[in-house]
Amino acid sequence: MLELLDNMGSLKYFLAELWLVLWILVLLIQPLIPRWSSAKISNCLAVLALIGAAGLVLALPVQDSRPTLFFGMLALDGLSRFFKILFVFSTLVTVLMNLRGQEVTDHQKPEFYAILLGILLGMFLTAASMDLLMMYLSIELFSLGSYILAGFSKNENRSDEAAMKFLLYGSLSTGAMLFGMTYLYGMTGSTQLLDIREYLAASGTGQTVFFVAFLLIFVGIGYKISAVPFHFWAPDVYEGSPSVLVAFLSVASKAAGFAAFIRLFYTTLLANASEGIWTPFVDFDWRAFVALLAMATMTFGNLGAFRQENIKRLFAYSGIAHAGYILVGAIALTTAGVESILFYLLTYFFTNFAAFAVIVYLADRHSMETIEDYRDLGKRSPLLALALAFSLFSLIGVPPLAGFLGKWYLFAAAVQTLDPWCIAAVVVGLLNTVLSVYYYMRIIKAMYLDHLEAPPLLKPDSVLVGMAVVLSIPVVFMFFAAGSIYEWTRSLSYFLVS
Amino acid sequence: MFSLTFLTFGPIIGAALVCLLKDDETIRRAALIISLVVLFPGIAMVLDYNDSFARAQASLTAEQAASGVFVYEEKIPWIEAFNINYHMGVDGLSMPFVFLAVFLCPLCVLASWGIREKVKGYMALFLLLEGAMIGVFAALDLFLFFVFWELMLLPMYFLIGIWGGPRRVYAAIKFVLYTLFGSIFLFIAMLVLYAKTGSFSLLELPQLMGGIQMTWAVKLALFIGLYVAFAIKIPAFPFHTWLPDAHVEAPTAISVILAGILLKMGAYGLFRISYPIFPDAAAWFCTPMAVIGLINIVYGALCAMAQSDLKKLVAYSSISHMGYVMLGMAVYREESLQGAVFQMFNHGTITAMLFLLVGVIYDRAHHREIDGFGGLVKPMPVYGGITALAFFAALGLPGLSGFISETLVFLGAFQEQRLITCLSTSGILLGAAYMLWTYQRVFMGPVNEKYAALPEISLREICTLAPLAVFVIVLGIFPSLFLNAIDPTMEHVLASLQKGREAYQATLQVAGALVP
Repeated sequence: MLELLDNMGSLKYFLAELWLVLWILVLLIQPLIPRWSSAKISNCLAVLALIGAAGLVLALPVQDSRPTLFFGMLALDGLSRFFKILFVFSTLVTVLMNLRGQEVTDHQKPEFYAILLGILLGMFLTAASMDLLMMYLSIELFSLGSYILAGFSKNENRSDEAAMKFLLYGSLSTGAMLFGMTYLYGMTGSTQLLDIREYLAASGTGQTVFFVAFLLIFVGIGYKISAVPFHFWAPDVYEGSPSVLVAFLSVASKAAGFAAFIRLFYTTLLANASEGIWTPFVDFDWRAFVALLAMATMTFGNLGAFRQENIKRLFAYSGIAHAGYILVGAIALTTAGVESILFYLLTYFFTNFAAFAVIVYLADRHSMETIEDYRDLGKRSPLLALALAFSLFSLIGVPPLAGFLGKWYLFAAAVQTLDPWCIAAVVVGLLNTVLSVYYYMRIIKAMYLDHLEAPPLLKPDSVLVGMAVVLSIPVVFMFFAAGSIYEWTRSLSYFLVS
Repeated sequence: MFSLTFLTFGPIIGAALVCLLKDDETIRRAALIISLVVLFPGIAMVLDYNDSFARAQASLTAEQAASGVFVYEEKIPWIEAFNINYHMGVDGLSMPFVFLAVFLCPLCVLASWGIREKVKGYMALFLLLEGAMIGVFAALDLFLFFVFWELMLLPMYFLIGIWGGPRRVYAAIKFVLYTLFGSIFLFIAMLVLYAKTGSFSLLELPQLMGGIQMTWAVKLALFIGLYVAFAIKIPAFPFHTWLPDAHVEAPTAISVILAGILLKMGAYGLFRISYPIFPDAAAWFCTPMAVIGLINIVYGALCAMAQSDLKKLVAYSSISHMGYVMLGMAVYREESLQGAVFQMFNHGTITAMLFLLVGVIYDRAHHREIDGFGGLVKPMPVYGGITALAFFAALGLPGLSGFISETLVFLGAFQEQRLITCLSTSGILLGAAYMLWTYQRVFMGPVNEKYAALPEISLREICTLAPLAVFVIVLGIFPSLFLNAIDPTMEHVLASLQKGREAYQATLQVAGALVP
């Protein structure tokens, strides 16, 4: 049964967040002390903070009682645990990629890390929030941090442009979300998700206003996961922002959006009827609505990627397309659907970060950002090219790579319902997979099939090359343990009302 | 003694080992050794197969045998949440092709000795391809089958795209897009079958299908989807357009693999997946399939006749020859089904020879224009002789293996599809016409001065051709060596197909319409 913990009793489950706050302060003070002000020390501090946070998150107790913290503000369940693990490792990878980076200059590093930890804190809270206000505030917390970091390359116009667009679009969509939340509060008289759920279960049917409310909330969440038609910010922000931040956003920000999505919609809108099959309280065709969004998202994402010359822009569109694939798991409205989303995010974590380790290295050290720049990479840096090739194949979904397994779980969960909307979405998703082959293969073609007379040499960087290799190992070999990794995500897919 | 896992993963591990080597010559030798290490267990498998099969058959109860008898089975759970198993095993349908794959690969490594650029990448990808191909034929789990099926794409893309001819990039992406498009249908069918039955086992699925409700429209849609996926690989008209491009641009050894093994996977997939799981839909599809077979035979032959490029001619002749396979599969007679499988095997050996022979002349003259040669018999008598053998085998000369399989197909097909079979026999005539006409233009007539001093075929090249020639002759004289081995499995296939046809006809009578 649910257990409501008071403020003092909650603190011992809140250590990771407190730890982050502590280190944000340390990183703010560190550059003020002359002897400590070097970039190396800030690197060390950030890594230490994250390793500690990772340890605290992993040490969180797994409890059957499923307590809520701070009088029902935050959940302590498998879902929040999974997402916290994903976020903390995303941040760790991002910091490691940035150790010797130049886009974020040395004297900017302490601020960069402090804000990054702030974003992480916001994401932690997002993953756990059980209250509309809490959810809104935590989404804003990590969004604001992202806006600042997007404009971190101060001398570059496109970085300023990215931050500005990010901020404007972001404020608009979170505004819409807040508006939707006020409707929910007005109708149900509570900001607590569980209260709203009870109200909807009792008298949700026949009230169109809930559709409007959820639609507006979806605007905010759709913006975070970059679902069509709320995706317009992504290409410009990806192109203009510092590459490490793009790597972080492409994985963690999307995952945070899905954390809020699952938490909000599965907690409030769906009854856990039986056998892991969920049915909506509110009587409009929720499934059709999300299915249409998913189909539009993957199709527009893939079509948009076709003509891109800039790799970061291309990955923005690729990320949009993948948001569409992930939404297919959401329309299944089953527990298996939630599990498959978690598993997909895990594969996406490895795949996208492996690709971005290469992209960051080339963009940051050599200002190589277009597909043309990638020509003959196979000869110039075999390891990097191989890592990128594997992640691209994984993004396409070629078996037995991780991306294939992820896509397999998503689509299998959807088809198992045998619902026409689900099957339609899966068919569109598979057709999109074929579309996507074209633009991913353009990069592969440039790397292996195009030859340069005298290719410019690449400076070696052991950290990034090492990361590209380490991250692509799970991409290639995940199929060995696909079963047990899936079991692990399944064990973490429970949340308060399931 | 050996295991299918070793056959499949030996080359894949070998591919990783090859990556560690430095010197080009060492890499070539290592690749050859690895492919030979896999070949010997493969030979042992063929020799041992009949005994093992008899033993397996005797040990099974009638109920177990209903789902087919398989030997050398290996089964480990892989993804338990989805009931996916790592399940390998062969029967009379897959054993010949597992053998064909392990047999052709060393020859192809030999034929690739002339590759000069990026030898390491080439050999590693080639070995990866070998492993994936063997995996496709040995997999008894639909999911596993799909994984190997798709895994082949990657090495193939690079092998055509990097080491191919002038339009290689176009040909490579066309090949990948075509195949992936087909795989979508395979993927959807797999998902729906799993959602309905909860199993991926190719042994269990046919039985499980009997116990579930599925409307005729869904069945038909799935069957046609699977058909498209496999027809692209066969390649059946109208999905054949990738083949000439891929063949012409691919390096010689890859053309051999494409024609020798990859094309077989389409027909094998129909036999292994579509037919047992949807026997009633297959019965519905008999006549369309026979018609498509006819189109393949005649249209492929006519196209071949019109080609001026030697390699393109062989590519179109492949389309024509695969038409016989489809015609044989469309008729539920023991002769024609056996003929179809035998034709698949023979096409593997004969067309492999043809592509190798084209490669030999291309290496010397650096072009493949049929009209650009003339009188080649004079400078290259041995080459002319081997080519004559291959050409005669391809046009179905009695005494060589191609004749037996084509005759078997016609024997069976004539009993059910008289008109189509009669029309198809024109393929024999057309085949003889384009083969002999080509031989005449290339080898007969006045010696082309430019090529009067071409060096004779080398010992290495003969080594790649001779084993294939042995198969063509021996199986032409003693076809029973092959047919007896596949016979029990084909009987089982035939029985399940006939049951499907009865079910289909019963529903027809109830519905009283063309479609139940």
